[in-house]
Amino acid sequence: MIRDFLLLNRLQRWQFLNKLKENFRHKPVSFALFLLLAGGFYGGYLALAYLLSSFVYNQEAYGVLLASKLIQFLLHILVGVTLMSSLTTAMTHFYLSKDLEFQFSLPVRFSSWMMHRFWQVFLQANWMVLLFGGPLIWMYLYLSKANLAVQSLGLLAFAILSAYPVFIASLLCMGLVKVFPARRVQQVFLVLTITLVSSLILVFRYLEPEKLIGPGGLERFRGFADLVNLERHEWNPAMWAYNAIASLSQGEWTASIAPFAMLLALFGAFTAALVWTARRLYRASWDRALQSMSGEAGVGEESRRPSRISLGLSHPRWSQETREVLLFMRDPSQWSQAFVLAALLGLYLISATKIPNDLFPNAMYALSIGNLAFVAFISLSIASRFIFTSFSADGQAIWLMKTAPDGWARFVRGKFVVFGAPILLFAQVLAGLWAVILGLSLEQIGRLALFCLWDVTVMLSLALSFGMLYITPNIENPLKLIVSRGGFLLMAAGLFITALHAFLRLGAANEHWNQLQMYIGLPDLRSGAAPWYFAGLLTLEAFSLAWLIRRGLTHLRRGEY
Amino acid sequence: MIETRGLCKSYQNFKAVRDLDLQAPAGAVFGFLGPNGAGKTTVIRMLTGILEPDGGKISMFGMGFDKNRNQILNRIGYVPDRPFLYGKLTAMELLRFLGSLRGMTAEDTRARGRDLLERFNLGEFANQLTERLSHGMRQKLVFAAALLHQPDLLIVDEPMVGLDPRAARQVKQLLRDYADAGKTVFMSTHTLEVAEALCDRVGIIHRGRLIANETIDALAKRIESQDGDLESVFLALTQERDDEAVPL
Repeated sequence: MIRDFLLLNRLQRWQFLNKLKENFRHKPVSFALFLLLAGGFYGGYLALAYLLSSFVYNQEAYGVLLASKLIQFLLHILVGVTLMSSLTTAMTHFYLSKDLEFQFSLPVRFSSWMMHRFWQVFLQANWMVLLFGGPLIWMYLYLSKANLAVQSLGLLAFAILSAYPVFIASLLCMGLVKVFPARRVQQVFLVLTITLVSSLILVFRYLEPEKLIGPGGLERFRGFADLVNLERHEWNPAMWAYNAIASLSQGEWTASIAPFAMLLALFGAFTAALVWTARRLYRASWDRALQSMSGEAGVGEESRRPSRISLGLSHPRWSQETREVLLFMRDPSQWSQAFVLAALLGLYLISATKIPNDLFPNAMYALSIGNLAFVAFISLSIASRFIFTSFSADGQAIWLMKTAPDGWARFVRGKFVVFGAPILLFAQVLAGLWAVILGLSLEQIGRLALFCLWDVTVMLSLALSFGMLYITPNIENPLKLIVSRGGFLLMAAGLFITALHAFLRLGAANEHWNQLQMYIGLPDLRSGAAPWYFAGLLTLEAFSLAWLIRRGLTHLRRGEY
Repeated sequence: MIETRGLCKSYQNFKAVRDLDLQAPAGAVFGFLGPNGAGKTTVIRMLTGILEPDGGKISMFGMGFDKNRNQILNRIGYVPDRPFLYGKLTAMELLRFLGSLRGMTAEDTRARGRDLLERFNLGEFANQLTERLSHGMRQKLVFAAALLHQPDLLIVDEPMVGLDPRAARQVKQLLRDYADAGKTVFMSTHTLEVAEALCDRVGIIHRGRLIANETIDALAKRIESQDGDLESVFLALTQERDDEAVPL
């Protein structure tokens, strides 16, 4: 059994290593740059996390208590987040993956195969949580001066807890696919997940995190934690994991035995349930899964009534745009993310009403410039989700565009119009409403609108060009591209430009910022020459983006992907 | 009709097509044969604008491909070996979209689309999402899409893959009728019986090079001299080349 499990894992490992080697061989410079950026980002995260953890832990009187509360929150959030990602990942791995039939034909035990698949779901759904949450647990134990064995046990409790959502998701998938087609279940999970994420964003806003920083912030957090009072939930596995970790951190080995035993017992029960369900239900669900994978149409299958929008498909000018709109509307994984956008819009505007207006002279305008950076970042995120991935989302049907006269130009224009125009409008509304709420003058609002147009156009062009350059038509799930090399480079480039714009504009708006920037060698942005500096930057960016888009188009035309 | 001069294409260090000179005349069925990995699909993708050649020239209908790309593509219908389509569009919507890309009016597209779907026994699936259709149905839909704008040249990559015997027979008849009506069919296939039954002229590609380009009559003479069929000639020709050392 273990041999089979290792064999299947080896198959996965080889594929992963081959992909790494191929990337390194074909584009060594950009791959090395990517690794460097990723390493720098993660290193920065660890350093920041350690600074914040030690700041909280070393607070007088109730530092340890606060750190404990934070760990409780972290463990609860972990269960919620991993449950969401596990649901969609388990669906793909158990039912919709292309290699399923091949793996079923291998001479390996079913139970080994099931455990291997479970392990894959665990890694894919949890890698971010483990990578970013694990160090926080370790820091908590390290700061409480726990030894290496205790630190390892604490991390083990964390890992066991993060396996529970994967168990729940796997069991749910097997049960539901027996009743509904796999694709329908996946769509339901996806919409559910995104709605939950949006709700979480609004709940986070309700917490008013900006008030946790500054005088009285820690007291406020303690009050909030007391109000929620997670200790009451003794049945909650996240609390078992917390109790195990907390007891270990205090050196109370005996107190940690009971919560650890409960964690392990539940793990065992889940394993037994998974094996039983897999044997009884999984195979029976296969008919349903295959039906939705192969897309066999039954004669009795209900036909789709032609919609009004689809009439535009025959329009010589707007057929591409109509196609994009139809594909978007018929794919829940696309439109359901509008919930997240609505939640972000709500969060943004609520935040604007909370800002005191007597911070420092000209504070409202300076804050609006800072918030333009936030708008640019949001635009970049949305563009990376919708524009960057959209070229690959067309998948292998892209030959239809390549073999049509004028197909390319209209294809790229269609993407820009359907996704770019709403993003631009969304950004202008966000920036404009913020400025109106802060009571800025018309002239200031006009200037901010122009800056917003500049920023968002840059973000859209970046997403468009990177989408073309990193097109992957045969990818199973285009969303994975966001965490690929192209996705990271897009985010890095976008964030760099956003930060640069924000710093320069703040320098031009505020004397102190200007002095600070002059100190590090930047020109005087409050002199008469400032417009020329900005015009130069705009020209440089315009040429760079034109060059990038041209390269993207050439890559698309050459067709080697 | 189709002419290539010194056509080349490489993927990384692998030369998929080398100095390909090819002529396929108008009003005939041209069979493009070759073993797996010989470069057939790469050539077809270059002829249809999907891939850009590294070197050489392509001309069709007496026009250079580079300078007259849109005009040429407007006169070509293409059927790839695998029927990848936009899954979230219905069969009829897909035809209407493709018709508009080729400048057809909405009425023409609707009438011709309906007619083609009926011909391929897809009439009752006109309003089904293409992701709900089986592989064979999608393949037939691709044929309908390729014929929608009544192209002068039909380029078909492995036309029989995924088709049931009835549909395969229908497609063979369609290709023959198409050429008999004075239009051209450029078809790649592994199935030598299909080539033998349908093609007026045959080109054989091996390791990216054209090793034969003859009418079916000339080939028949060679078959007689070798006392065999098209399969023996094909195997003999590709075997000879395998024995030669081809430098990379």
